[in-house]
Amino acid sequence: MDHSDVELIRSYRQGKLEALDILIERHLNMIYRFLYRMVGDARAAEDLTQETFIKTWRNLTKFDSSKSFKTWIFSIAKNTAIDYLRKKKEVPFSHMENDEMPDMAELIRDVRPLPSEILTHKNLVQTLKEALSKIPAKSRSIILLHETEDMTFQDIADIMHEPMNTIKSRYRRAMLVMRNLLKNVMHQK
Amino acid sequence: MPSHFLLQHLPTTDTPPDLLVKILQKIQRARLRQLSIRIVFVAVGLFTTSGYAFSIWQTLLEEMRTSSFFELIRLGVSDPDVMLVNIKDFIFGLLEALPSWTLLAASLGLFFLIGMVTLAQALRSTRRTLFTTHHL
Repeated sequence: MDHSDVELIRSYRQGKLEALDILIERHLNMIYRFLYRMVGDARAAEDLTQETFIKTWRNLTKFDSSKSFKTWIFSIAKNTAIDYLRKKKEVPFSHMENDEMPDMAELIRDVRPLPSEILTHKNLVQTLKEALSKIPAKSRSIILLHETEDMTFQDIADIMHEPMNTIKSRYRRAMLVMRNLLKNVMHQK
Repeated sequence: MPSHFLLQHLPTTDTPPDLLVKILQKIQRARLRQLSIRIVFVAVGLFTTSGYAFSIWQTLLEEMRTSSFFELIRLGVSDPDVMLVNIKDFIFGLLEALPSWTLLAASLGLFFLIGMVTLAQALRSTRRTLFTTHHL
């Protein structure tokens, strides 16, 4: 019988150590996938995944059972990735992170999607990877959590500890930047 | 082109097959380290208490000898009717006669001893789990 995350944590706190093993196994693939896409390096993603779960284990007694374990562990993973990127000095300075700036994204009327030729672009994967690496780490994590991990903006707001409107605004700005980057690549083709 | 469709093309890679084992082993090792540190602290407490009790053993022995605590207990057991009539005085008498230093030394020693036994059991169980995980 499948136990929920909260039940497994409760069992672990009661001394059933194998409950932690099940919990880790359940979330391992998605955390690794997220970290791999955040940092773009398999070796680093492996180290960061280990670090994330070690931090999760150390703080498990502080976990609030009324909250979602998934958003909590993704919060740890996100912070771990951002710390790593910061140390590597890979976080580009960007006004996108400055919430006091007027939201230019709201002023842009052109919201047409990208042409479908983008999918036939021969280096699509590499292009996407490069475009994503140019997005600041926080905004990058919002895009990945929403687009590839199917999280709602409310979940992401809980992970980032920010208001939902801020998350939506950052997401929109980041997607516009990404769209422009991809369009530039298309024009160079 | 909807963005979610496009971003599904982002590169991904299979989770390394041994990653789960590595994580579990790391956690077990961290757990062992934590338990070992706790055992060291408790052992220090035990030896300090025992050492101190040993250094003042004559004082503790004298306190036990001169204390009327055990005599009061014997009296209470042999004449319960008398004791019940004067229950308040009896309890106060017991409290006054309590060989407090001896009890303190014995309680602390026992506390640290139980702590060490519990931690040693946890340490053995964690070592066994680490051994099992290593062989997964």
